[in-house]
Amino acid sequence: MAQSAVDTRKKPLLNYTQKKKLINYVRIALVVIITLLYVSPLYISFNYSFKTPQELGTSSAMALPKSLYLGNYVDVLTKNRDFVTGFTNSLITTVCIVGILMVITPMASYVLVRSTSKWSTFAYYIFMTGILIPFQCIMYPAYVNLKAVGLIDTLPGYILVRTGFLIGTSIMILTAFVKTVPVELEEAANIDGASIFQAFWMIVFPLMKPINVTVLVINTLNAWNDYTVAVSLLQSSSKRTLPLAQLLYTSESGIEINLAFAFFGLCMLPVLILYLFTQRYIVSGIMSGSVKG
Amino acid sequence: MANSSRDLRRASGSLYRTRTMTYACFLAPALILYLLVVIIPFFQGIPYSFTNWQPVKGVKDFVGFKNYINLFTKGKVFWKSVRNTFEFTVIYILISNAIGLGMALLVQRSSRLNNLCRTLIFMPYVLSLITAAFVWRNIYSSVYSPIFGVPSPLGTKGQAMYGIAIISSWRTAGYCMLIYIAGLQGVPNEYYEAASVEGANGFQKFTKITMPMLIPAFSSNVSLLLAWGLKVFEVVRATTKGGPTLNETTTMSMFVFDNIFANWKAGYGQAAAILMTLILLVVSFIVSGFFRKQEVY
Repeated sequence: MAQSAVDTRKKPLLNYTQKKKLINYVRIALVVIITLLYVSPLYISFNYSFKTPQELGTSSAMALPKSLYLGNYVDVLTKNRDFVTGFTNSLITTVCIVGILMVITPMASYVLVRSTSKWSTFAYYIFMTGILIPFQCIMYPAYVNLKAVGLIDTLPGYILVRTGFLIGTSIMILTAFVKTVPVELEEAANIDGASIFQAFWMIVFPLMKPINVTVLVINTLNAWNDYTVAVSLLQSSSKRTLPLAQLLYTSESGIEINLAFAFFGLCMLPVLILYLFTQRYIVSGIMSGSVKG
Repeated sequence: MANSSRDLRRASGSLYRTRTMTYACFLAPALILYLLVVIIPFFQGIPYSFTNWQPVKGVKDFVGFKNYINLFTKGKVFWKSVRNTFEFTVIYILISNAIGLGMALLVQRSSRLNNLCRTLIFMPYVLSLITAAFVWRNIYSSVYSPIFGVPSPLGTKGQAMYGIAIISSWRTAGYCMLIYIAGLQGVPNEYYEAASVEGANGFQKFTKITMPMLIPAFSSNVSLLLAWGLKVFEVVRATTKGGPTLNETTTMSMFVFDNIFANWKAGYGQAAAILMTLILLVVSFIVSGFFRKQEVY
């Protein structure tokens, strides 16, 4: 009886596994199309940078260049003074900012977690409240202070302010991690006669490697890409960092678009390479909810 | 015996002192730099906002609440910039979350293709906003315009803010996607199995299980984008500079910057900066409070 009821029912077009497979194909097609659309602006940018000036007028934005023409890059590297100055300044400031941060913030985070005194709790609150202050609010006081000590429009002055402004978020990320490092390891080291200094640098700091890499990359991106702080504190053309040089370059009238994209391509290249090598750390840092900003 | 216990106490006291000293040395560099560069300047800025400081003219007199009164009564441009900033932030949050959630649902399981797509979608985040703005200015003018036969939204009245929000969202949607993927991976599979046994269809599973379980991810995305969106500065400066019509896309950050460094009306600009900080704090507290209430259920 039941058997015949099943037999007389209209057979579905696709059975369950076939339906699942079809849905999966549709999903894959969607993923590929959306991802290609999403990265197409970057494709178009790099595409422009390999085209000769003559090609620009004739071919469309999406069309591949006829040959791998590197003249635009050579032009930017050899003839564009702004690029060379900007790149050098960005490199110096980024290395200094990240270097200082990666020494002082892990040490501070360690103390903020391990110390039980009310002073360190107070210090922790200072760091966390400071995160809420937007740079616009301290832009002018910072300018006045740097002017008073003769550091306005100098790279050291800029490095100090930019580093200080990244301390809060770095400490927020790092303290969350230090809380998960077991204290027993340090106690054992202390019993064996290690000082706190040794215990930190030889045991805790190596254990912090994954989060240190995450913080290092996030800080490098923030330092390399910074425009707001740089535009308020650096003025003369010899002190410009890359984002300042980029914006000035593109606001000049009559720029050649293929040269501009070679310029921008060279600015993007270092961070893109850094990202591709360290993306595992960034992705896991963000997914664990520890990284904000 | 008594002697040795005193020795012990003295020894542990010195150990305690060394510990405190080491801790102080560890904390000092970060704390001092932070105080000098962030906290002290913040408090310095408050008295500045009560002056008519104009560094170029060399005036700096105490004027009481005049700057604030001017901002509230005559500050049309400031309030326009506040409205623009909120308009931008709302569009920005909507677009970023829509793309982020959509992509997260498509690539939530780990596979080689899905991981590659995650990597590519997150990639724009590592670029500077100046770069993203320039790239998109050209996409609008040399791809979007010819295809649809319309002018670039950045130069069109009423569309510029959308154009800017799209640029910013392109850069951060991948970030939202990662947070949503983490949220989706936290939903236990048993919930879906139980729902299937009860005869729930895919849509019911999405609205009754996935969405409520994603509230924490949604809340952290919204708070983060709110903090970024309300401070929007670079993209506007690199695209419309406040145009296309007068002050159509001027934001709070731009208003503050222009008053301090372009017009050199530092006292007035500082007062606007402090109002901006207050607006930021109030809005983020309201929003985070709202989400905390949601998560109770």
